[in-house]
Amino acid sequence: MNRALIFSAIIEDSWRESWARRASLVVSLIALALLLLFAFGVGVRLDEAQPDLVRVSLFGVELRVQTVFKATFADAVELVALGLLNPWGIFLGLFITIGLFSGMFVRGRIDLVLSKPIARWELYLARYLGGVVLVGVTTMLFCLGVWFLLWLKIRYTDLGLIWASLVLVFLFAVLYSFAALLALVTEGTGAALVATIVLWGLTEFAYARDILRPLSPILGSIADALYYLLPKTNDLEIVTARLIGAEQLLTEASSEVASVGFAFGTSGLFALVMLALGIFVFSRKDY
Amino acid sequence: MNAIEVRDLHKTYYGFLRRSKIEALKGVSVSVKQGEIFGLLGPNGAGKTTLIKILLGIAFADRGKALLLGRDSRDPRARLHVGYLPEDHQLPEYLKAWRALDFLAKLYGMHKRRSRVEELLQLVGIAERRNSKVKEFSKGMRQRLGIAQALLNNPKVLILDEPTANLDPLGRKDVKDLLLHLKDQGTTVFISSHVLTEIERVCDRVAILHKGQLLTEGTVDELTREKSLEDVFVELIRGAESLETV
Repeated sequence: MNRALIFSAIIEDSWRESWARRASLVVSLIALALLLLFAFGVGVRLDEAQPDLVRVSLFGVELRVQTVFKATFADAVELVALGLLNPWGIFLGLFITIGLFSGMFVRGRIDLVLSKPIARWELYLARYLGGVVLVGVTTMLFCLGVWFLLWLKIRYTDLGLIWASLVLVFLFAVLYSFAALLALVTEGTGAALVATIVLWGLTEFAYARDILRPLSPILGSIADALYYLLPKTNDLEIVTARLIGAEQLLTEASSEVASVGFAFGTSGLFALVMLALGIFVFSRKDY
Repeated sequence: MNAIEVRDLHKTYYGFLRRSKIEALKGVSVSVKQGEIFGLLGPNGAGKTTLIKILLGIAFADRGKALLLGRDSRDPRARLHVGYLPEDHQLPEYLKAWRALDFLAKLYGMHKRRSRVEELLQLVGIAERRNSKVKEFSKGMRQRLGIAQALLNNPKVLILDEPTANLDPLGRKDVKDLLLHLKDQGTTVFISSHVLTEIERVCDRVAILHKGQLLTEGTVDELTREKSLEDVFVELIRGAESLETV
């Protein structure tokens, strides 16, 4: 069997379905509106005497701070872009892709697909990848747009934002692996979305383990267990801030990452376990 | 080698927390020879769709064997030469007719799809609507498109669940002619239907299923020697029900 053709067909179908549902159109319009706002709403004038400094205006009104360093301006813009993408962009991405994922498993439609000579693991994985590609491309295009506008305005060439967008896509893929499993089990989108947000909240809760341990050993142990089991959302956020060189804007306590490798490794392992569970359940499910 | 071989198939569906259960199949055995048109009859809830779904790997049997062209039905390769029309199919509504077929053809791993898609749109009589979205189609046109997708891979075995549902008399005639044409080409056809006259006209052999059990199986000639198929069907079902009451 031609696996590449099957995978590309299912990924392409996810893309077409999201456009047909107007979900991608709405997200693209929001992203475009933000880029236009930055392009035309934020004015930047290079300081002739000191080329490292710029004067910034919002809709023609100059800011009180007369001049800022180019790098500081770029960091601030990139930080705003990342702040929009995480959590709002990821939440929007989950909202759209969970619907796409569960839509495939509706009776009548799934029968048509399962009667073709494809293995269930292929179908599950391809549909999952369809969602990741959809969110990945949209995120990358938005970040490329911000980067291009920064280059136009202040000739800023650092690629940190592009790398940071890849980390955000990874974070989305990790959360989406859990959402996909829940969408499969519950055969709906609402419960899967709520459970994924709860999981996201728990990952943040786990970071409070050092504070909780002296207060309550039981809560501390729970937070410890969650910390090691769940994806490292907070660590990945800090990695994105470091990639754009904006770690100085974070507080000292919040800028500590145990280990970048540990954060990626455990988060990736979590996603793999969720995908394996999803495939296991799907391979035994009657339709 | 038989095109379809089902041996002692059992399937039970359980309710939430196993509080209720429905025995959909209770040891069904059926075999369909290559090139034959086989009709599966039965009232609602007889287990016809469950049997078909197990044959196609859409549902899984608790016990027993289901083979398609000699391969275990759970093996995806068993479906390489099989076409299927589900009863309540939902083709992707957001796609144009030709693109829906193209998408499903890709799932067979087909490379040269354009001419096959065009040929099938012509065959089922909706070629002029190739660029219309599925959501704009009437029920009858959707059914025609469903039949087209079942033929995409030029199947050796064609499984049809209520193929004439939603079709007008002309459409029904077209399906009947198509089935006879496929039979001439050597395609094995397995039909599940409520319409007894339809089955009587096109099928070589027939089986009657009731509450998960096979009541009878034989050629149409054997079963209709003394009575019409409708009479045989009603008699067998009523007989089985009265036995259950006793």
